[in-house]
Amino acid sequence: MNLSRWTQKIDFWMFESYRTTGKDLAVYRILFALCVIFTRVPSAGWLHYTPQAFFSPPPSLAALSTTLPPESLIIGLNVLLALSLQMLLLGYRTQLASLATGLLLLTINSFGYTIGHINHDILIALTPVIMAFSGWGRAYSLDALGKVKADIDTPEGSWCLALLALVIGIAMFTAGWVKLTSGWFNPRIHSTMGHLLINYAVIGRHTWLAEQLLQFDSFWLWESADWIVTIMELGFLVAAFNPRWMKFLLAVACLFHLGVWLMYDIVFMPNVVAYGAFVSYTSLPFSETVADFVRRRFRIAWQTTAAVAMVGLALLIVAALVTGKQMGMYAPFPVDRAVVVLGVVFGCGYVAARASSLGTANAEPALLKSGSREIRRDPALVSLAHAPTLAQAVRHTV
Amino acid sequence: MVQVLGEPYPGIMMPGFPGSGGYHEDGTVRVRSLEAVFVPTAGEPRTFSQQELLGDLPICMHNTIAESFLTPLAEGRTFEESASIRTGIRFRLFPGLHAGQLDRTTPENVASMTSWLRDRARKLVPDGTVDRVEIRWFEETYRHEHGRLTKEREPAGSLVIRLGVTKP
Repeated sequence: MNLSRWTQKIDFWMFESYRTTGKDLAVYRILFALCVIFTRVPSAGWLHYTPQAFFSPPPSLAALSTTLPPESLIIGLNVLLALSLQMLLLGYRTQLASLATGLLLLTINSFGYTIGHINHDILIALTPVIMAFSGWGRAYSLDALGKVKADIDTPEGSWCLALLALVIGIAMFTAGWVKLTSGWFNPRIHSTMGHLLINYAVIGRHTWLAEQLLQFDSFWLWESADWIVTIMELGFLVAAFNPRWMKFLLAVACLFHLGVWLMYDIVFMPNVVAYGAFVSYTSLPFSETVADFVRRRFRIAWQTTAAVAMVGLALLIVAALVTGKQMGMYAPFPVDRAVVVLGVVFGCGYVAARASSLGTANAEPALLKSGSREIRRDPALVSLAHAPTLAQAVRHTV
Repeated sequence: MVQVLGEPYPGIMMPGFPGSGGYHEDGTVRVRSLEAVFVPTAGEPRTFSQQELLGDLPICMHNTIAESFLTPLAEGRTFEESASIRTGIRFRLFPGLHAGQLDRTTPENVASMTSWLRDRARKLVPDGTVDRVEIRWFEETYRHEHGRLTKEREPAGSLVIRLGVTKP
């Protein structure tokens, strides 16, 4: 294949393959901001009662100093984070708010990892930096008020989503690579069981599922867990170049994160939040019903309602910063766990929708097999080929 | 870079859970665990788990703290002040790099650790004066026998930190 063909393929992947609408991005922006507010504000508050003897940062911003960061710095950074998240939620100076949110999360985390332990929640910090250029402030935002109404309903290619997919792919691949090169494929060693036992017996995370599973001395159970997890993580780097494969693997990953929560009591919410960028929120079942309900109820008073909600949220944030308690404590349910559960619901729904659409969207497989050239000439076929759900596919052909 | 300096932050990486997690080819799993024994000047020693000792700090950090700062020192060494061993260009570029882990017995770190343990002693043993804290390590071996998981435990060294040491 010559160079220009490769260039076309890369171009297509970057600018056309990951398609989304302005509305979907806006809904994601709002959900992202709310998730981070209720799970990350404030962050690293425990640093002020950490002894200097535990100061042992990895190569990072924190390692440029020889002492723990002062409490005032951490508080100041958290105040700025809360402010940038509220701006992001409102869609006010969205690009600036996105970049500020990402950079502040990276900075606060850098100090939070001065003990030498890195939590690998990098995706929650990189997502707003990448999405800052996606136009996720074009709808349901203060930025959109008074501007010429942009087309927020037609799916468009988004290089930001392609980049985010690649970043997720690289991140997951590194985990799979470490496993591959440290014996996880060795049939005589059950690494999943070993790590589960450390988590249970040494760290003290006693989960019901771990207690049951650790009683099993089953080659097939433990070895298949080693292989499935490693192959899934390695597969992400390849899947990042195909939206359908990527979305399928993200759905599988949501189940994986649920399993990690139930077995290890590790709620890896940051990843699931990042995966949420690939959901077509406006084509979910009942999304139009919910939107109509909201429009009818708040047609006249939506500005007042939104203002009251924002003031309430701001007061909660101030209370959280003053008391040092996580915002999540003011939520009626554990937000991080709810995100993981929602990820599973969306993931299973996506897989079910794709399974049911196989054989009914007859043209789609043939078009993809014949190569991407035909698809690129006809935008309608592009939308059909890459529609995440059958409902959206039907909508684009009407 | 990762091999020389350690994993940096930020970095596009996910937790790898390298290695077997202590699982051996003979079907046993060997892990290291600790107990924190607070020995009062009078009365019975009180024993606490890793989680109880480090309770104020996020649980995800507990293992790193235990393995980095609470392990027994090299043979023949005691927890008393010594000079920094962090020399080289990497420590000029990153002055704080791995400071707590590599320089566990510098005067500042000894004082900080002792102070922190005194504070923990006040919270965990409020009704006594603690003379020293012994971080006792064990090598635990788990194996499946007759459908159940069994455990054997052997001592694997200890770190003793005297809380009564004060500079004149």
